[in-house]
Amino acid sequence: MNPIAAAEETLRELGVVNPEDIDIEAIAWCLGARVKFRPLDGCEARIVGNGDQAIITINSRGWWRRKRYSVAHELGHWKYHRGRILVCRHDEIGRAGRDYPTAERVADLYAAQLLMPAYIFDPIVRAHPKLTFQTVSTIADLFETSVTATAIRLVQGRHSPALLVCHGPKGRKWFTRSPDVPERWFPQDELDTESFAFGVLFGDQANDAMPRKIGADAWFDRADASRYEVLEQTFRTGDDEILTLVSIRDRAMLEEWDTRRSSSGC
Amino acid sequence: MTGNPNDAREALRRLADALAEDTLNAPDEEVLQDAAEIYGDTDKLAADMLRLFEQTASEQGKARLAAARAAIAAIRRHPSGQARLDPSEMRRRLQQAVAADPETARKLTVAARKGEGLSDEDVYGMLEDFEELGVIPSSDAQDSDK
Repeated sequence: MNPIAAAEETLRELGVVNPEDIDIEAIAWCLGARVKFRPLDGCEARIVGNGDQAIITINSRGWWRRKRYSVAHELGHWKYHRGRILVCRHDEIGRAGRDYPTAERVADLYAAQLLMPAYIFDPIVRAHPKLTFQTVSTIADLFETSVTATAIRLVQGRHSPALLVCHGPKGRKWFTRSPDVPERWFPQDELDTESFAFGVLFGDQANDAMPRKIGADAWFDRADASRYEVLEQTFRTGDDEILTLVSIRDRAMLEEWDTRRSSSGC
Repeated sequence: MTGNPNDAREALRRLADALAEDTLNAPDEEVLQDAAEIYGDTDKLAADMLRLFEQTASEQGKARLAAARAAIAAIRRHPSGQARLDPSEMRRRLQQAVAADPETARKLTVAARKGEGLSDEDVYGMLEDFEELGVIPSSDAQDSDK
């Protein structure tokens, strides 16, 4: 069973119908895993299993939403990678992109669905048609999830065509895009100095209150990018980390995908 | 009839079994026809029954979650205290346990290489987890064997 269906089945079996029902420690207990919180120095979280019982230990120094996500992530390992002792570093939990181990991606997918299951998440999201960080924060508060995890869930869940890009001072850390955004729209490694995100990361500018229009060539290193505009909104998630939503409103940027697919006979 | 309530209960049970057996062996059309005569709209009946099953499952699930919360609260009230070994002895025991899992050994090595080596507290916590799960015998038991 895939992680999405598996997480949803678990929640339905436990009679979970509202975001506030998602008590991750109690859910873990029902799945045979006891959760402990204690200071960890060498990792963010770990799970040790024996037979059908496991102990999940989460770094107690983190903030609550991060801890919840880490528990759900370790439950993903419990579901799919049972029989191993697993130690997860901070940078292996709750990120997007394809350049990290498959096992961690599977655990993240399971975690996202366990904390934000489609059958509860989607009806709530439909009341928020605009993909902005205001929407992300409102939904994150409802589900007690981080802005990062919620933004990834929204972007990957076909809310609207967009990319979510994470940058640090050394460049792009990771990104993810909506399924309906063609793969040719690949964000540049470095922030363009013209982008509003540059000012938030390197200047003293505050988070963008609302998405702002900017030429697509500030984000995509393609010859045809200069023909389009995108909406950009940046949110600081740490001292040296920002998230940017790059929303695509110009249908032409998406329609060309259909043209290319039909011309290649797919 | 013997007047014994147990006999009467047994007779009722056999009757219920026979009725259920009849229904299970009847053709679908006949069951639908009987249901329509008794209940009217069979689609509505099916939807009502499905809702009842889901409601029952949901209530059972909620009860499981409530029991889990109670169990977690009980453990928090009475945390287990385990004797601490000498740090070097703890590390020796951990190495033995982890040697059975090369993937974890590799990750721990990477963590150490990044300057995030396991502290004594980390080692103690892992050993405690291993002991609680029965992966390794408890240090108390080992000491008493000596």
